[in-house]
Amino acid sequence: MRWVLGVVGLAVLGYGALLAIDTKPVLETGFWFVGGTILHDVVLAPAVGVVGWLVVRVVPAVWRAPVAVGAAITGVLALLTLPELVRRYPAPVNPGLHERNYLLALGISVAVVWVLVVAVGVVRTARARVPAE
Amino acid sequence: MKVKVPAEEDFKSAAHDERVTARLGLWLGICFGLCFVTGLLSHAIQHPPTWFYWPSRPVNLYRVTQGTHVISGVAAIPLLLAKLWSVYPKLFARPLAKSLVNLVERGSILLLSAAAFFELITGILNVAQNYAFPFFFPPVHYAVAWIAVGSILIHVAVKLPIVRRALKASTKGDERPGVLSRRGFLRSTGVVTGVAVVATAGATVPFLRRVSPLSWRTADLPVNRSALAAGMTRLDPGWRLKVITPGGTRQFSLDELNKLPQTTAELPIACVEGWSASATWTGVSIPDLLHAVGAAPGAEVRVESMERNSIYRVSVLPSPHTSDAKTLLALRLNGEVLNADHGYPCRIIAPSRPGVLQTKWVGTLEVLS
Repeated sequence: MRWVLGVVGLAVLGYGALLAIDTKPVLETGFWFVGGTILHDVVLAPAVGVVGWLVVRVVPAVWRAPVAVGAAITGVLALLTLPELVRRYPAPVNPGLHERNYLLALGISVAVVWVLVVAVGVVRTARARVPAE
Repeated sequence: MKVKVPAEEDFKSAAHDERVTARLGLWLGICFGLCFVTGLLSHAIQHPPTWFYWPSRPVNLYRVTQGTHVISGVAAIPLLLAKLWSVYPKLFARPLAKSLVNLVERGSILLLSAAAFFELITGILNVAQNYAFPFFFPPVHYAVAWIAVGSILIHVAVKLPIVRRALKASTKGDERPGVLSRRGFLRSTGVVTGVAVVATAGATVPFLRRVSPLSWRTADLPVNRSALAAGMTRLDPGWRLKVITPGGTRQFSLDELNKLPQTTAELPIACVEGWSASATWTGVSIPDLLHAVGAAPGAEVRVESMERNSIYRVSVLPSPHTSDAKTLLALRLNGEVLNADHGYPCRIIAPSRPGVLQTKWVGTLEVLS
């Protein structure tokens, strides 16, 4: 089973490499290929680590989970919005596509998320105060 | 303050438990699997091999497969980040390689991670029509998909014993410290993934249209190539639709097209770039038009646009679509004459087809076989 998976995987991988071999420009495409994982390992993941470390040290115990989830949602929504916010070339003029203030949309979404974080935190705090029966 | 590079043992939270990793890997594998299969379908519809068959019904079929492609891709973004956070401590394992096998394994994970990020980043840029990359998107996104899936299969082959152990292991007890418990981390990843999907899926899912704040579709029926961009804002008053058949060429004025039997159908435009929208189209059905020129429905029809400078100016309607009465040479949209942006004087609108093949500003139809 493992060997079959491995051999099939190698064949699929090889086919992909064959398809990709003529991609131009070579160097820039290579940067794009390794860029994401390097940015993740060197910038994004350490940032997540620092935020987690701060949450543990700064935020009271009952608030930690909602704050961490709120931070994660904020980060992911920001990443999803980034292609609409930062453009190397202007977007093609297509009526009905990308015609929105995405910074405002992101801001409102994040605000809603943090209102919910506060609500959950308040409920958890109240529950923690009630002595268990 | 001195900053030191952490060691593998410095990461103590429950998120790094292999039981978490295995489950996230499973979810991520499902998303990448969906992306791959629906991507292959979309590729085959646009570059059909001779053996390939794609039906014209249900009319929303391509809308669903391509919507699945983009939604599972969006879902894979938080899942990939959570999965990599779960195994992040392993990046700091020293020595770099304990053996040759270990070195190959670590190299294959680098390849997997690179290919996965490449697919998700180029994909999310492409749906935003943010063509920041220096290459033409479709062939490269397609090639790297094979690299990603190949390295996933190799990765699963290598890790299968650990995956089995982790999925079978008791999920109770021995909680580690940290912000979230094991279950908490998995549940939270689920919540983040759900929010990412809801925030964007309105681009294609009708009931989320008014919900998704980050949707790249911002109107009920977008236009993906404007008449201005295509140089098609003015129509020659002497315009005729040319229909070439093996028996000869017929020409139709717009008036004549309007006098042929008209068919109305509710059909979606489903863009490869992940948005879709339904509308009511009226025009001459392709089977009726084929009858009018003495050809049989079911023959392939080559559609050529009058626009000059697009690599997408020609499409071929395959047999299932030219015999489907809902495949239209559309003259009207929601009851009104097509405007220039939607392809005036006439456009193809066929069920279950990528939007890029719904050729606008049609000048010539050629019956092929």
